[in-house]
Amino acid sequence: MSLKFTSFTLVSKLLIILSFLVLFLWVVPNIVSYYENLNQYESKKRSLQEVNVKHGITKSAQKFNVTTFKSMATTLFSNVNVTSMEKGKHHIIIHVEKDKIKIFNTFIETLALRYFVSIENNELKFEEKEKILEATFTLQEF
Amino acid sequence: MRNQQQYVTITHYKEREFYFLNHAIQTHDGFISKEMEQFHESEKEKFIERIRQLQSEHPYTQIASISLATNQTVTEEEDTNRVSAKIFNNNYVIQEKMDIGNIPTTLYFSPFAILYEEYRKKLDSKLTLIIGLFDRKLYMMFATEDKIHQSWVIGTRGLTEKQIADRVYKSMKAYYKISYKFADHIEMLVTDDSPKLLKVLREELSLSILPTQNSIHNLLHHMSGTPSRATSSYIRSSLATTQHSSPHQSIKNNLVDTNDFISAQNDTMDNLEDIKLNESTFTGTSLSFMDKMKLLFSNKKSQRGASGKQFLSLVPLLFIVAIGAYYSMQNSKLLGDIIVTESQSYSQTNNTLLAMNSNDIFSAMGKNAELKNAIISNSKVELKGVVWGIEPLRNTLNELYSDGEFIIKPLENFMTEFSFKSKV
Repeated sequence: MSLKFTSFTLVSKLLIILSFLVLFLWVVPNIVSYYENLNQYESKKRSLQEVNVKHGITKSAQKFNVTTFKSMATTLFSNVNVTSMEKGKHHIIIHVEKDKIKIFNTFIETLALRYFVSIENNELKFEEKEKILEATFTLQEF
Repeated sequence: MRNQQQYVTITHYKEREFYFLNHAIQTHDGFISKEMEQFHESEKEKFIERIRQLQSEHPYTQIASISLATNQTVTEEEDTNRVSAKIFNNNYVIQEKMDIGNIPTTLYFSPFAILYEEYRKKLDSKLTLIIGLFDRKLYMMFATEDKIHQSWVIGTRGLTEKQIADRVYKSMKAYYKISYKFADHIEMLVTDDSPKLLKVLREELSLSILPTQNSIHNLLHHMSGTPSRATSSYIRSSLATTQHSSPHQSIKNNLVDTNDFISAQNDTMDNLEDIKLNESTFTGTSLSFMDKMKLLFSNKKSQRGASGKQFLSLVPLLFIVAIGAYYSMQNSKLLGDIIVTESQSYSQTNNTLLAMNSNDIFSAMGKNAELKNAIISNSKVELKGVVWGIEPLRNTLNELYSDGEFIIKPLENFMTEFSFKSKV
């Protein structure tokens, strides 16, 4: 079937021109941007998975949950206290025996691999209380 | 007055994709116009049927229409090989061809003839520019009481009111260039219901312009209202008379007493039907974009049918928009995921550095000291504790943080307190 462009009505012509404009000015850039972003995303995801493997973490990160966090941290440390605050902040107090300081450091190192959180100001506070170190920090969800 | 005794003028014209139909009862005091009817070009048969119906209802009728072609010119000599209408004794409107198809028409008028009829009583020795705006085309003629000096047709399709006024002004300047004369005054007849145009024309043109407004139907009813007016200026098909020798049948009419008035049916068949098609010369026959969009959403079945094809052109656009919307949504979602992954990666790096700092400090303490309070971050370190091996601790901390401030303070219990501050 051969259709000449000139045989179309004005509205049809305008619609066809509009289709091309939408295709080349909006759809194609969107598709290109999507695949660029997809590559970028997969690359970052791969990097994180490599770190996970290095630390022996099999599960991917999840949204921060107080109960899950507490149950996970209590298996490592004697006392864990979580106080949730506004704007996705959680104040954490963990009692760390002095011989478990390395475990605590690894715990901090892998925190972002388990939960979508960051440590506020990248700051840890320690205070010795009855021969036990009380570590305090604030987690911020993202 | 009964139907049989009434003289009825039926008027019709085509503008864009629509036929407009009207009829009026002619009386001695003027005409009484009836309601206007509109038909889409896809309803042409219905439109013709309606004309036939009006003809059957009113035996004494004339069917008048207007030629809106742009290739009309006013000349001083009649051309027997073309369709023409006489205006003055020495002025004729000439048109190459005329297409009326099979639509019944007994009188066909040129906009120039209508303009002349409207303004002839105002013409005198002074030069008058007479302008008619018919179907978004400007029919212009410079005239005096004895002749038409110049005429031309200009399209105004898609122009604003101001631009139309500008066209009129430019036409006056153009005429000045060829004749070194300015029109003494301008008369303008606007057939569209456009008060804004009239206002703009009055404002934009400094010369005294007298715009009036009247519908094409009313003008045609007026033109065909009396035999003298109609016969003097309707477009005669010279081609028809030369090529066909069959005599026209005349009808007796109590109002129309002339052989030039021929019954609608006979005229259509014998007089105008043989005029060749010249559809391409009509400039204003396609719908505007807005009209077509209205038509797309119109409820009328026939109109929908005619515009249904346009939906086909809408399909690729809808398809493209759907693809675009899908990728746009996916992209937005992906960007959200990327932000989370980047935040996670950034947080992981910071946490690793923080854990390394913490590890270094606790290692530095070793068996030389014991921390009581500490703030460890990626930007600063503040330590306070009890020290036993001052020099080893100082050396180790200095190795880690070269610009740190190490202070010792003896305590009462023979122990030594240390404090250390540094930026990382």
